[in-house]
Amino acid sequence: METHHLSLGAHLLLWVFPLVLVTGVVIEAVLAARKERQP
Amino acid sequence: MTPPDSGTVLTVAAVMTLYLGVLLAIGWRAARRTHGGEDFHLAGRSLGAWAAGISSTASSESGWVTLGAVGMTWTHGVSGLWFAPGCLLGYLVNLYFVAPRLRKLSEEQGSLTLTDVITRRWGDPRHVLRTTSVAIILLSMMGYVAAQMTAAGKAFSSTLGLEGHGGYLLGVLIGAAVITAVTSLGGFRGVAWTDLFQGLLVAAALLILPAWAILKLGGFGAVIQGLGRLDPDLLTATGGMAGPALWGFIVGELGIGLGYPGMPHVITRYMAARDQHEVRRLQLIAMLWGVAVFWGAGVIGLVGKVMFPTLADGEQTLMVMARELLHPVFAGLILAAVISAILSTVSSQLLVAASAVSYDIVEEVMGRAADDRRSLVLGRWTVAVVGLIGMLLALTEVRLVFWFVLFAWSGLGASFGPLVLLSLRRGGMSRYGALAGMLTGFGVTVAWKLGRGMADNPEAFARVPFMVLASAAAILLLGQLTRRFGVGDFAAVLAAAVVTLAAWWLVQRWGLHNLYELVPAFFLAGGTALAVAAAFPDREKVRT
Repeated sequence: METHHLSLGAHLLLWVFPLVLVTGVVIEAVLAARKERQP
Repeated sequence: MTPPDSGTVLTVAAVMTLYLGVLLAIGWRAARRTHGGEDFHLAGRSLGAWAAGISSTASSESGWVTLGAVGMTWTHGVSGLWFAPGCLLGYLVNLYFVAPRLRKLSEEQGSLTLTDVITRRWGDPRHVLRTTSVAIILLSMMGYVAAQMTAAGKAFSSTLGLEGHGGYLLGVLIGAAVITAVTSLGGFRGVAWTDLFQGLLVAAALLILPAWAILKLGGFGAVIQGLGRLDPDLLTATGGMAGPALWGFIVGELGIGLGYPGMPHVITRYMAARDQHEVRRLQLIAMLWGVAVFWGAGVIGLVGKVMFPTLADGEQTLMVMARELLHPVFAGLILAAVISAILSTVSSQLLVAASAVSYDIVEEVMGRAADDRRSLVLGRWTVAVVGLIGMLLALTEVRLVFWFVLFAWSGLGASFGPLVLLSLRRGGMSRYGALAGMLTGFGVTVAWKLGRGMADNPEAFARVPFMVLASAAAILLLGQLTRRFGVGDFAAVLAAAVVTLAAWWLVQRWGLHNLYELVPAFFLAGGTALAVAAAFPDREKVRT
């Protein structure tokens, strides 16, 4: 039976992009919170 | 698929009734904390990060996210997900550029609505900008409100088992009455709190349902194999498209994001945040909500394609999946989430339309109801009247009103988006530029949109030049008769008319029918605003 795969672009669109985005905004939030706590 | 039995319909109806009860309870609680005009129009600038953040995103995503977005991936496969980066591009600009600056500016100005921000930023001694802004908001929002009430009526009638045209009418009445009551009583706070409740319900539905469905199918690998068997193109990011059609599609999908900074019902949430610390927190909350909801909706479409490949309408995937896979109580909650996505947008738009009338026109232009208590009462009555008009439009389905819905997202995005971004930077604009930008954004949107649909309706496209010239003449005549226009105002209207006519010519000359109208309208509006401002700098510049 033929096996099907996602194309490279589909991998990027389906999970790489949201993962990178979420990681980015979480890091930004952590850094911003740290900066806010500094006197 | 099997039709739902009467026990299931009853259980779902009970869950829906409970859901409507929760909305009314939240509205009543918010009403008890609403004591004056600033409270009613902007929740007294007291919202926490969760209410402001989720409310802003839930307001921007209407029933489209639970129906249309799901249908996109059901029809096009993975390539149907291109809308998600487009929308999140808009989220990034709104949350990280607009939100902190707009909150600060609006607090310094003491402004309560988006129109207020723009007019106080550039000065508007003769109320030209304010009246134009309100006209564009009402033209776009009333159609939007009526269309969403229609969608809510259809969703209610189908989930509550109400049949025929009578069932539809009852559905519209129930949805419209509840949401108008919540908005009228609770004002901005009621809208934000119900949005929070509804936004969380939508996110939970769009995360849990696809996860459950994937488990049922035997893992994501089974989904991929199922999609590949149906059509290998469903597993690519191009969906089998190539050349100009592909680029037109991708630019158009990414271009959706340009609309976000111009949505009054979205960005006023940032103005209502308690302080900058809450703005920082809401950025993360809203981004995570967006990712969860967009990809959740996308994955539901993909899984739904494998489970129900023969559906007549892919947009029904979520509702069908909920009925087929879940216990009636959970199916009721999912259906409540579908309606939540619609109602959270209706309430926000209803409030913006009502604030435009009661605050911008009656209080600011006409100078009535200056004290806080009267402002609150006026706001509540205006919401009730606007809600009633929206409901009547939805019940009678007036065609002209629904015609404006076609232009609502792009029209608002192009009219206000560039202005909001220009208003939040230093200098470089004037009130004449702002007027030209607003009119150009709306004009180019209409011309380009009709150009894109030229094949279906060539007569409407051919009438564009007459519509533009007649509108420009009417605005100029009105400005002259009321003695409100200066030379700069005349120039702004003429510039907008010329650019709109040029867009009309370009769309047919260059064959740009594939390009989503918001993209050219946004940039032409921004460019025209800057050009007119350079030619007619305002000498009574307002300090920011």
